[in-house]
Amino acid sequence: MNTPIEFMKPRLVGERFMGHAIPFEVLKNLAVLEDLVIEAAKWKYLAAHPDRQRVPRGFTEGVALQLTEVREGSAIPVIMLTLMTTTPLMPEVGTHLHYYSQGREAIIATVSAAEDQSQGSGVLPPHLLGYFDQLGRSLREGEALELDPGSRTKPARLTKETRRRILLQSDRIQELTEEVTLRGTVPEMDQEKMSFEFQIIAGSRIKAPLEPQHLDTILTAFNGYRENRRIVIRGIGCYNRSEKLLGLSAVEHVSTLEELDPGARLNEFKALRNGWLDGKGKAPDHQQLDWLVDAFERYYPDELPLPYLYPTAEGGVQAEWSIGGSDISLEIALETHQGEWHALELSNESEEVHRLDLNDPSGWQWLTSEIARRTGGAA
Amino acid sequence: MNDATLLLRQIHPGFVQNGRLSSQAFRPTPKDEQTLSVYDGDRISPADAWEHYMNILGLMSRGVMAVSLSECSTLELPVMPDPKPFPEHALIDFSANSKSETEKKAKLLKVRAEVRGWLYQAVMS
Repeated sequence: MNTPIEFMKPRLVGERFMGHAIPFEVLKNLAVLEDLVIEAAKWKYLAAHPDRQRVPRGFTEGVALQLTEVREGSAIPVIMLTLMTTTPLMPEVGTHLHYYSQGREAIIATVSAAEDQSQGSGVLPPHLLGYFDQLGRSLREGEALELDPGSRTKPARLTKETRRRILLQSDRIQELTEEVTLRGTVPEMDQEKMSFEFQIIAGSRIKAPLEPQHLDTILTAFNGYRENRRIVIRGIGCYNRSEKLLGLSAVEHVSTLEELDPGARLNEFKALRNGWLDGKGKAPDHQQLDWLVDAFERYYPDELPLPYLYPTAEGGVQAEWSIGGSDISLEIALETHQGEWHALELSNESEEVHRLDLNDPSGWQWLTSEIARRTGGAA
Repeated sequence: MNDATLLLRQIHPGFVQNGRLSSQAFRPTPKDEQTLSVYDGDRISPADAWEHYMNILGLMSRGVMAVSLSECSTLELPVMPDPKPFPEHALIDFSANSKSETEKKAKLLKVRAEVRGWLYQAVMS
């Protein structure tokens, strides 16, 4: 008889999980929890039976984790463990539940120890830590998977940082994977080996697998290499233990970029060094450039004309638009996220000046409304 | 120099995107003490000015654009020879202007220069 037992109620914390919804890309990586729980239970069983070489027949028979419900707060997936509790041929199977519970506790202890940066007790052995390469891979900055949210002091928060700490504990793990979004060009492709070379803007050249569904887009980018045709790739990046990107193990989405794509242009600025402007220009901060890329993606609607973007001598960015008879600029200070808007009407030389707080969505709303108004559309 | 003198401005590659020029190309940075460096077009040709800038001074330029001395005067921007760094050097003085006035005048100078077009452009590899 198969019996479902409420097994875990972890909590996903972060903006993406508001409204008790879990994106598929997160669920996809959460699925590896089933394999990890089974392997942790097998390890616990063998530790309790040192005379045995392997677990008894039926130990993993019919065992499955199932997501049955998503509760509020941010999002709490209710995970049931299904296993055979009685069977005439293998009456001892029901007693194995104990080891699955112990396995779960070891997983929680491992994450808690990583969070505390301590050795911890009852943690998983190194050979099981590789499962964390997939578990939590899709978590972004500021997001967490709390494996034991009932514990106020130690909710066992799996984050980008704790996941990395767990993986680095094992000497066996030489490569770590992360979800990445990269912009660049395709200087080389090999249709026989189904792979291509990807030149990241202001970065290194890496190898990537060529999936049949992306063949046309990659081929177009390859043929347009000399015209600097750029694409954006979302996929799984492989890093060494020193966080150097080695290549892509999977390519999930590929899109051709518009000529003025802000992300591509702002990534170019990462190649600037101090002194770039006749010995005087300050190099922009890379993390702040990433902030601006995200902000444009989040707040700037596709239907509006994209700005031309230029680095400033002070280490900031200046966005410019020529709309109708107006010459518009927005000087963005990357340290403070403050913007200075200046619009000049060329026919009568009248000007408008406005300060914008780009930390605040209302600052972006003002900007997009103003651009929309001047282009005769609605943002 | 007279009203018709062209003031040659070297355009940094960072201030050109897809052929469009930034107003920063004609705006002094705070470190320039609110003055904009130009070459006196009566004393040097655009091609020679570019050659000097790139090969003698070792700086970066996408090419040369220009505004006239009278265009600067109309915007109440004084122009003065400044032969200290090299004989053909001159300065457009923005120091009497506020930040928004500087931005406005830089945009207007850019428009005037764009009407004139590139006087010399580097061959792109």
